[in-house]
Amino acid sequence: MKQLLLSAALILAAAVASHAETYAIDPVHSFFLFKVGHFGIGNVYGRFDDVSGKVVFDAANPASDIFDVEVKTGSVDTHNDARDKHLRSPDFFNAQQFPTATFATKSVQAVDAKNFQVTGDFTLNGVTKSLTVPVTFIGTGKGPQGEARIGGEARFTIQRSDYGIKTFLPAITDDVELTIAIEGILQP
Amino acid sequence: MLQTKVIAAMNPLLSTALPGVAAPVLFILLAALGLRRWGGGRAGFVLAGCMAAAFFFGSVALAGWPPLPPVTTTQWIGLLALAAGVLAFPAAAFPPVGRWLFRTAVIAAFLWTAARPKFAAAWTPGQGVLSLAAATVLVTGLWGLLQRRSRSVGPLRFVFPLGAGMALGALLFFQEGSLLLAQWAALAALITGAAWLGLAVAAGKPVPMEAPLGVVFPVYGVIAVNALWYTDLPVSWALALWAGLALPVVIGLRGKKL
Repeated sequence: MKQLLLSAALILAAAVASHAETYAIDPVHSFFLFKVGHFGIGNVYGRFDDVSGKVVFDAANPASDIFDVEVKTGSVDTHNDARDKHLRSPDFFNAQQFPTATFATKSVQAVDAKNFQVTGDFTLNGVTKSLTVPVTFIGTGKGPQGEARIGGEARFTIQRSDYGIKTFLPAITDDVELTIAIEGILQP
Repeated sequence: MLQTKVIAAMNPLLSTALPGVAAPVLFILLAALGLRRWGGGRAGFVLAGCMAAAFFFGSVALAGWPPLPPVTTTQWIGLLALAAGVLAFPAAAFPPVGRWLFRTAVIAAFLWTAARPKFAAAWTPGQGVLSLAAATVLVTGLWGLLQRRSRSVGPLRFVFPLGAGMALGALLFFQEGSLLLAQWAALAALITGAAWLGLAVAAGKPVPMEAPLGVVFPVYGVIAVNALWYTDLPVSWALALWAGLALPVVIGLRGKKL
């Protein structure tokens, strides 16, 4: 039954897009957000303002899909200049030594027409770990200039200590929730 | 107002750093007290080794074991301290000119570990060579000047100004850069201060400072260039940092043997 549903979803998706299309991530409508616990009292939210990357989407062959995202770690923004400066330092993102954090797709498994399990290499602070993250396909459509767009979102949690970021543990939680919300613009 | 700001800045620094700092500092104080009774060149080498080990284990207590090989330049610092402790032995075998060359080579090699990411991503080869050379000359020069004065000026001349200069660096790193580097600068400053204090208060034979300074300057030099190259430390603060380090040299040049 599960296989039947999956097949049906894939056939439906194939009707929408029957070949691989490459989209460039639109930095204006894409977001890389993080949430971290603060002293067990509350949560601090931040984002990276400089997001780029590409999406290759083939509804008929999800295994060949690609979701590659890159952020400039120096673009971290938590609405507080002093904290942002500290976050750019070697205590956290080490932005001058490791100017980017990346997610590079290795394989994609379709759960259904809208949901995928994407396995890839996540690199932060010079450390690369393989992660499998759930990616939800949101939709396709035309933008204000008539350009074709695609949108999706991933939410997952990492342990920052795995990436050598141990400052203020455990007052600032080891678990960091990441949200990557992207819109891509179809490339000719 | 200023007092409140300074206290606010010191509190997290001290509360985070104290557990990892107290044991190494006490160890060095006791080691210096004991070695002063022994005296002589061997006591200097043992003290240098103890200081290197104290810094390494203090850094591990503050930030955890570094991965091998280290990934970030800051993860090298504890390992470089151990290397500096070992290198203090062959340094003594060189004649005076050879020691200068040896010191320069050690500092250049240590600073190279901090410079590699800059060479890879930020600097042109020319900029990189110039920056590395300038930092090497600065650290080696300060080391050499203080080294010369340490032979004619007693340890009490250095304990407060040297510790104060390094502690100033720790505060600057904390205020404008990185808590991690601030903690390590504070650790280096306190270990240095404990060594000199132990030597100053105990009665006994003189302990040459060459080997201990051979640990202090490479380690503090690497911490300082990491702060200068990888944090948002403004140029004005960077100049103040080097002025702080130059303080013991200036005081040493004016000082008399105590």
